[in-house]
Amino acid sequence: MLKLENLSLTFHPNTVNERVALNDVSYEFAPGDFVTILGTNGAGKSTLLNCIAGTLEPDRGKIILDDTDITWMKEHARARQIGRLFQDPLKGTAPNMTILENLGLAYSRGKRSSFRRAIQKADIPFFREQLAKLNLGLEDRMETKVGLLSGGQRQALTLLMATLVTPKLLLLDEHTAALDPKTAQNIMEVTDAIVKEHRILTIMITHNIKQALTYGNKLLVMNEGKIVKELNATEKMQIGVDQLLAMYDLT
Amino acid sequence: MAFSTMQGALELGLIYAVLAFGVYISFRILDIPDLSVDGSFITGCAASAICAVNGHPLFGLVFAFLCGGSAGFMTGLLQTKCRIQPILSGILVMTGLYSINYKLMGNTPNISLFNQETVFTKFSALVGNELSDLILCAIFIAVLSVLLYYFLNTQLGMCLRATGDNEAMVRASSVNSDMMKIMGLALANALVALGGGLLAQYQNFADVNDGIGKLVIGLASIIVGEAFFGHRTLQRSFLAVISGAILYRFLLSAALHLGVNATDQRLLSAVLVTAAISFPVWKNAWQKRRKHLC
Repeated sequence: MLKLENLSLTFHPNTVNERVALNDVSYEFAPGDFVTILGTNGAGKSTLLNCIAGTLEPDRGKIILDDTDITWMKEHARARQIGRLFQDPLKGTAPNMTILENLGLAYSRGKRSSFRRAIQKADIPFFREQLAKLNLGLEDRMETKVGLLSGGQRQALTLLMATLVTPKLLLLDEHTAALDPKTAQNIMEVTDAIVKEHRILTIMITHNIKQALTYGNKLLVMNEGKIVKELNATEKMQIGVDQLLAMYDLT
Repeated sequence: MAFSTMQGALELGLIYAVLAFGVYISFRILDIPDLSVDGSFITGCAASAICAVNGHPLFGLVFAFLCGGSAGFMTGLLQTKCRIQPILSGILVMTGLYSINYKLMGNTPNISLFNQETVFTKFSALVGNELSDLILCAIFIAVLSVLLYYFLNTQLGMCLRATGDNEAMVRASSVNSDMMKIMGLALANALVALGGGLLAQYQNFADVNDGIGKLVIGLASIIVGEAFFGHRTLQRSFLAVISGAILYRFLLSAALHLGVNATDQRLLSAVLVTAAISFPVWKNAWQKRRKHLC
C-alpha cells in the first residue's frame, strides 16, 4: 500500500521560472493496484514518480509505503523495495557487463553480503527460466555483454531485473515510449504478466491512451500538478478517447 | 640487450604492474580520471621506506597500502560528499600529499635504504638464488591478481564495476553509488601506493619528487597491454595490465639503450599515451577518406 499525503513541490521558487510541479497531491494506492497516469507534458507525472522513488525531495507532504514514512529516505535505500523503469532503455542496465552479471547484481538487491560471489551457480537455472519468459532468446546468451543488445531487449532485461526480487512497488515512466510498436506491445504484455503474477503495486506513466485504457485497474489524469480525474476499471472500459482528452484540461 | 638488463626490466615491469592495477581500477573500472596517483605513489614509497629503515620491511608494504588507501578515501570524499570535479579532487589530494609525504619521510626529501633489510634482501636470504628478486615480484603479482580477480567477482566487486558502467542503474539496485566510488578510489590508491612501497624497497631509496608522471606510466601500461589483449573479459584485462606494464619497461630500456636521455622518459611516455589513444581515431578518419577517393 502506498499513501501520498499533501505532496507539494515547486521548482525554482521565488524566481521568474517558478513552476508548481506538484500541488497538494493526496492519494491512496491499494495493494495490488495497477494504476496508469495520463496527462500533458509538465503535468507533474514524472515529478510524482521521482518523489516516490527518492530522486526528488518534496517541499511538503508525506510518502508512506506499507506504514513506513519514506519521504526522506535516500534513493538507494528505498530502491530495496521499489523497482523502476525509465523511458530510456539504456538507463537500466550496465552495458559492459554480461546479462548474467546484470541479473546477479539485481538479484542481490536488499540482501547484499559483500564478499559472497556475485553469481552463485545455483541461481543460474532460475535466471535462465526467468529470461525464457521474455521470449527473446536471451536465456541462450547469458554471457553476452548487455551493450550488444537492442533497446527492446535491454528494456525487457531491465524489467526482469526490477522485478527479479519482487518489489513492493513498481514505477514505470513511459517505459515503452522509445520502442517500436511491436516491441512496445511485447514489453507491455510481459509487464502485465509479471505484475499480475506477483500482484505488484504498479504505477505507470504513459502518453499512449490505448495502453492506459487496456492495462491496469485504475486510471489517473494529472494536470498542473494535481490529480484531476480518477477512473476505476468499469469507467475505463466505457470511456472514449475524446472524453478522455477533454479531461486533460480539467483543473 | 644484455640478460641482466632484461631481467631488470622484467622485475621493474612486474612492480609497476601493481601501480597499473591501481590505475586500472580508477580509470577503467570506475571510469574516473584520478590524478591523486602521482601523490599516493610517493606516499607508498615513503611509508614503506620509513618502516624498512626501522627494521620492518614487510609491515612497510602493509603500511604503504593503508596510507594509499586513506589518500584515495580522501579523493573519494572530495568527489562525492563535497561535489568537487574528479580531476580537481585528484589535483587537490596530489598537491596536499606532497607536504604529507615530506613529513612522512621525516622532513627529508629522500631516504636511502642501502644496507637496510628489505623484503628483497629477506627473500634473497631465504632462497639464495640470483633470480630471487624476479621470483618474489612474480609471486607478488600472481597472488595480487588472484585476490583482485576474486574480489571483482564478489557482490561488492560487481557493484564497483557496475558503478563505473551505469551509476543510475546501480542506485536503482539499492547500492550506494557514492560509497562505491569512495571505496573504489581507496582501493585504487592503496594499490598504487603498494606499487610505490615495493619499488622503494627494490631500488633502495625513496624520493619525494619522484611522483610526477606515475599516472601516465600506469595509463601507458594499460593501453599498451590492451593493444595486444583487448579488454573483452576481466581475464584479458588483467593480462593486458600485467603484460602492458612489462612491455612498457622493455620499451623504455630499449629507448635508453638507443641513447635516449633518462630525463626524456616522461616525454616519451606522454607521446606514447597520446599516440595510443588517438591512433584509432586517425585510422578511422584515414579509412573514411580512402573510401571517398575510390
